[in-house]
Amino acid sequence: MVDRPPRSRRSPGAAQQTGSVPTAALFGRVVNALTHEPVRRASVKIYNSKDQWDEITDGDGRFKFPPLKRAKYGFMAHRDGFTDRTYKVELSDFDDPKELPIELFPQGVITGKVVDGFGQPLQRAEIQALRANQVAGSEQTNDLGEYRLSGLDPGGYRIRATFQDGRESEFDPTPITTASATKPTELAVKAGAVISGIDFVLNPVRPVSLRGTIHTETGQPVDRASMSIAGPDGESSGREHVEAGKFEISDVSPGSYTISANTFDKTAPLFGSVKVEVHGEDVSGIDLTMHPSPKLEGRIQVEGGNIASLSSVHITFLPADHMLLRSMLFAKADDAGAFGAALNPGEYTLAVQSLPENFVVEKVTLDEAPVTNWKIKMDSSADPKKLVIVLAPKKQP
Amino acid sequence: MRIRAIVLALIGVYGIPAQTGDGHPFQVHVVNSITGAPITGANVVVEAANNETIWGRTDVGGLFAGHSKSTGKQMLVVTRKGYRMMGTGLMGTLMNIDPAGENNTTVQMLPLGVISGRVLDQYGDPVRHAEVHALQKGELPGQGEYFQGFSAGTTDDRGEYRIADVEPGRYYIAAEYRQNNQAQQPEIGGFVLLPDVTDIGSAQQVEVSAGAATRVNDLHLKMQRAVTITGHVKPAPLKETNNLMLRRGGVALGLNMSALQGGSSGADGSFALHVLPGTYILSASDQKTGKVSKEVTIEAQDKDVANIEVTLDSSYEINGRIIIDGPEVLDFSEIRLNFLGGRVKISGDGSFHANAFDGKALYMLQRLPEDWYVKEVTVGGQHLTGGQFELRPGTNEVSFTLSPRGARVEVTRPSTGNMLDLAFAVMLLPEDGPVPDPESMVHAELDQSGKLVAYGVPPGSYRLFALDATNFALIFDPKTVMEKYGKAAPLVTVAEGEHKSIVVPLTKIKPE
Repeated sequence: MVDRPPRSRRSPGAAQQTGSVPTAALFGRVVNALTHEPVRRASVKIYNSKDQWDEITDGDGRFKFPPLKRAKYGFMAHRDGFTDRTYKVELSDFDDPKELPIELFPQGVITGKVVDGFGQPLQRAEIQALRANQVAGSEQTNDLGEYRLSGLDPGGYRIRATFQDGRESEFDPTPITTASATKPTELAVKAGAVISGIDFVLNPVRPVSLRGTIHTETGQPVDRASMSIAGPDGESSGREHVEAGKFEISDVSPGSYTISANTFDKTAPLFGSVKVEVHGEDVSGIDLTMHPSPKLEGRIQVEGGNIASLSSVHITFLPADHMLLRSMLFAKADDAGAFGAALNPGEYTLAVQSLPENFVVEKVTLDEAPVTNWKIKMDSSADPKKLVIVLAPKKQP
Repeated sequence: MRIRAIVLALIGVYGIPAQTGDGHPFQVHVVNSITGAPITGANVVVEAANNETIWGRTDVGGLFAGHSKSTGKQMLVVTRKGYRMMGTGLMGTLMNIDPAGENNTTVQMLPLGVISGRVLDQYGDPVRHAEVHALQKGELPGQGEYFQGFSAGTTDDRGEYRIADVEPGRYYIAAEYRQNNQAQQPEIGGFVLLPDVTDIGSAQQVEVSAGAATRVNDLHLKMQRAVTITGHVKPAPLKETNNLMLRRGGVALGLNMSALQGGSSGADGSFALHVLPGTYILSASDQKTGKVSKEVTIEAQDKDVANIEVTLDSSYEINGRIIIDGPEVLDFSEIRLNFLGGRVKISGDGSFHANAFDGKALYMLQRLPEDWYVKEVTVGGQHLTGGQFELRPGTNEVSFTLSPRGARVEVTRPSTGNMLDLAFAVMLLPEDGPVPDPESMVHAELDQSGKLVAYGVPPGSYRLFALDATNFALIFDPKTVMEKYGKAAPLVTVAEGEHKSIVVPLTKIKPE
């Protein structure tokens, strides 16, 4: 073990595994799936819906749990630098106790260097690995401009480098300069692979300000709105200010952006977005027209059972496109199951939470068309879309 | 940022606008102070009259050429990662723009050091994402010595780290790893000091030279699983309360390591604290009652520690009174008094009551009227020097005697025509006795009318220190200023109620 004999932890109040209930001690060994070398100080845990027991592998990659009640459990192995591994403990694992072989795949690494236009290393540049527009890992360059972005599960990544200099203390009058670049092609990372030479040349420049007007379709100025600006990878940039139909976004680096806005009016919300190219100089005269946000009228139906009130049910809409501005939106059903939401045009992932006990979502339709993979798409149509969520009793095994 | 704003505002008042449209040419050469080599890509900032800021980067020859619309002295700041500007204070140096001259300035940049190494675990496997700190010894008045890290690095997947921008000097190297609790994995971690020891007394220092990369021996972190300390706070607080303080035993590490952590107990007083193995000192307090527990030393090494009891059985109460030396009347509601805690309410008769949470206290008495000063402080009838004092369990009597007859010292500025020749603050440090801390020393900052006046100066003899725009930050280090420049500084003696105007040239402190 890491430093002492193995032991287990259980949540308070967990049932004792003693008495006449048959028990067995599960044990095993964690190895590197590629080299078959032992994986030391890996965290392994066995769990069910109520309790959890965890151990750390020893110098030979071995682990052993205390005697547990013969039952089905979940198993998970975690070690920094390896992809997590889950496993189902079956009843047969208790009938014929033998060493559980757990193989962990080493994660991949991307390395490179970041320099400026003079070829001088840029220290503290931020390197991010993006996967489905989510940051899967990030590191900073060292004083040599070098980085090693590790801990990457196998898959495709886009790599982005950003750098900011200046204003390091209140006594530092150096203006802020920024730079960013993204490797346009996806890098395929394989288990245990080290991809080298992913270098960047960044030329930090002064960020600029964007100014424009924000108004309704009829030309009425919008006084208050929440604004955001996002780049093609969903990265945010700048500081926004809206007042009396005018907006200003400062500290924006060169690049392509989408500016989005939403009003705070809950009854008749407005949204708007506009694309803008920034080339190192202030941009003025941006026109941002706000349109009525598309509405969604929802209803929860119950088939094959009765539920007194559906007010506990929450519906979550997670935008697939980060440039939609609005992050996750929530709607709450009333007693009869009716709910509503105003959503910007785009694709959303739907989640239905806090379902009544022993009920599941049987099907979902949007304008009578079945919803698959929990994805719904909102367009800018003025007509409300009808979302129906059908609940049914959980089927017995 | 207030000082910088005042500096720039006064530059606007005193600066001399240029007579030409393009401005006066100047060149800044930026070089490595050790090798003399030009430094490419350094940021050069010149702040001149009327808030004009000129900014650019040096070319491959280390040169920045610009034009200034102002003449005379202007603030020059050069920054570059891996370097520090030499011969300046925190705010830069002064550069003279002569309308008839060539205006060439060379800035020496000190190359900072790098410490590199590797962190392995007890099996020889690399430890990724360990934090490695370069520590130096510090001391806080009344708090004892501690070890503070100003530079740090993080290990990569090979366990390699590089700590950059390290000032030349001697450092202890400390590494810590703490696996975050993602996916509810058990918490494991470790702490080690070079050369593979865990107490600072056995640790070795590393010498870092300017511009040099120092490779140190591998650090071996003994990765251990967190253990749990459980017990009860008595009496129970009746609701979940953040009332526990746990600190690592031995010498205090004043860095963001697991040297100090808070904790809370449930309504029944029970608590469970997860810590990496080590020696800890646990204490509890109750903000409402002011009750505190004795410190309990806990050896939490390789197994959980249970049944720890901490009893809230002591208190450090302060009962006090503010006395006025003379017939004058003071509106106590305007006075701000605290003892390292919230504001203490002062009754109309000057009495007050406060609780402290350990045996150490520091008083802050602010918003006294102009010319008033704290004439005397007594704790338990004993005269107090400085702002800090020790408390005994139980009730402690503290009294403040205030006098409305403080002296006033006005420092007259030399009239050289350029505001950057001016002092921006004056420190008055007592000729005799201990050097006060920055919070309690007498000083004056330049006000918007350009005056430097210290009010409420207690009678006595003082050395005066003028700080200009480039070395203003020394106001935070009066002890060093007194040690280095005390003998050469002008001396002024004031009696109670006396007003003095100092017209002698002030001692300029050379930038550090």
